Amino acid sequence: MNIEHKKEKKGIFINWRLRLLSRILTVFLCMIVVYPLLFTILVSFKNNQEFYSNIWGVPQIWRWENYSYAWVGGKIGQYALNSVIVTFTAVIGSVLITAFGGYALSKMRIPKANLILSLFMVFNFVPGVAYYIPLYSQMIKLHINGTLLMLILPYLTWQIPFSIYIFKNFFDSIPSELIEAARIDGASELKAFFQVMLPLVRPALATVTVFNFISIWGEYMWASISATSSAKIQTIPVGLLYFRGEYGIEWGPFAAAITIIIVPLIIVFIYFQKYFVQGITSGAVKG
Amino acid sequence: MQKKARKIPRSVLIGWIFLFPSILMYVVFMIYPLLRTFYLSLTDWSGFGQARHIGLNNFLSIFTDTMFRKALQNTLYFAVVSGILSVIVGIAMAWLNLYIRKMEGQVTRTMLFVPNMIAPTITGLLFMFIFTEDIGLMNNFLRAVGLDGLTTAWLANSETVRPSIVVAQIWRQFGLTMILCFAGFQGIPSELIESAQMDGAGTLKVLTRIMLPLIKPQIELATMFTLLGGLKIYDSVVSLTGGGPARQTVVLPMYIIENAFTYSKFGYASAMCVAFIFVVLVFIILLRIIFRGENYEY
Repeated sequence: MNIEHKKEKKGIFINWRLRLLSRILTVFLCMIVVYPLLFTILVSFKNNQEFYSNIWGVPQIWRWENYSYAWVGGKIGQYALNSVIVTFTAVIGSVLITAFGGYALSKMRIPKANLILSLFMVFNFVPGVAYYIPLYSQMIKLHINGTLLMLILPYLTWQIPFSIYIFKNFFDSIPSELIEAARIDGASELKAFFQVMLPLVRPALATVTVFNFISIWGEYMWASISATSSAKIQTIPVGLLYFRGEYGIEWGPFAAAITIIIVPLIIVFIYFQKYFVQGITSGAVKG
Repeated sequence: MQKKARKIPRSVLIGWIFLFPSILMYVVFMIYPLLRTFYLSLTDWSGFGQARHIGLNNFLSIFTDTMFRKALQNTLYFAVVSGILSVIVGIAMAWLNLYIRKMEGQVTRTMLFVPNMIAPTITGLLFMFIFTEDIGLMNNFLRAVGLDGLTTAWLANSETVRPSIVVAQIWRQFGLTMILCFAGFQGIPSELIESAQMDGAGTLKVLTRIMLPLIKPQIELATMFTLLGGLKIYDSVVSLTGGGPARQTVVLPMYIIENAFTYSKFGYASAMCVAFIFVVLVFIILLRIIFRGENYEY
């Protein structure tokens, strides 16, 4: 869309009554959306007594000790470490192999590339729970039950369909002449891939990374099933529910634990939101 | 044979090597387990020893299992009710967003989309703060505005627990529709809307007769995402109600996992997984039928 278009568009959608209505509704909805988050953050600084006496207001004393209590006493620190290791390894792993895969499907003249892509996409609709029963015994057979690999390997795999789809689409939009030129220069395939192709699809890298990060970071179902094999591999979502079970009445530290988890996510999201929106709408274009 | 092997160009061979890790992982951790689930659904496997074939007996038991029916009903209720409402709220917000200034819109869209990327488990916990009886925001708000009569234990009352979950789902989901439809609205050529306005069409008429039909592909995609995502609802229910009160909000994945990992009825649970896949397939086909018909080119 060019600039002229946008100027014209402004003209169509000027309507002061609708603008007023829109502002009121949007602000109202934003309040609904933001309030639970803000409320949780405020609670995280209160103790139980203040929680009951002063539920709405700003805490009278800012109790930072709730955070250290959640981090150490509530073992959020340990859960966070697990989550960080699992998420980073799985995201890097899946981004790497699907970047190769998408590139191969787009530029290496593999026969029936589109059919292969559809085969990757077709099982995406299957509910996750349909994999978990055999997967659990498979993990025991592979002798990785009770280790973080039990989470990393499936997480990495479940991101493949979406990621490979995004990478192939982006590589498709890059002229093949570029890679041919790199070949003529004598660059090896790997070198051409890392030095020429990958830098060209930086937006795809960001989109895939952000999407994978968010869905892996919050995964609960498989993580909770896996945690039955060893308490040592509990990730944040699993640990948090466990934390509630154990310290349910201590609202302050509990809210502190939630805050520790969502605030970094929100910051990451706001920083990378361009790529997030891109990922969603690029799915929309091809449908 | 040899001739054929020599024919594969080097670049294609390297391509297969590049693609191999993805295929390997996909087969080992998705295709193989899925096939095993189908196989196990025909057995009475209990996690140990040999699986015994029992034909379609598991599927026959499903039909008489009242708890399965309850769980399926809940899953469908949450998917359909919160799905439709999320899409409607999302479209409305996308449309209203066209009427505010560009910068404002960017800020509000970001804010409204934040819940979408918060883990569903967390959504459940946040809404616990809202709906819990004594300390919940909802009851405190109602008391503050003098509507004491409306206060209730939202999550313990079987009348209100399911709508409460629906509210949490809408909170989480509508942002996706909003983003998709807003992008769709922006792509509509302004001449189309201008000429309709010149012909005297009012704001609402322009919306319903011109703008909405033009973004049908986006609405379809949003509905697909939201409804199919809604069918998988599990995390937020676990953290919000745990299936209670009195198992009123048990959803399908919950019942399946309970059968498998608590009662070791792996065969029966697998059969329920197969039934679940079938339900999802029916949903996809229904949605295709609903959205059948031509898309307008512009």
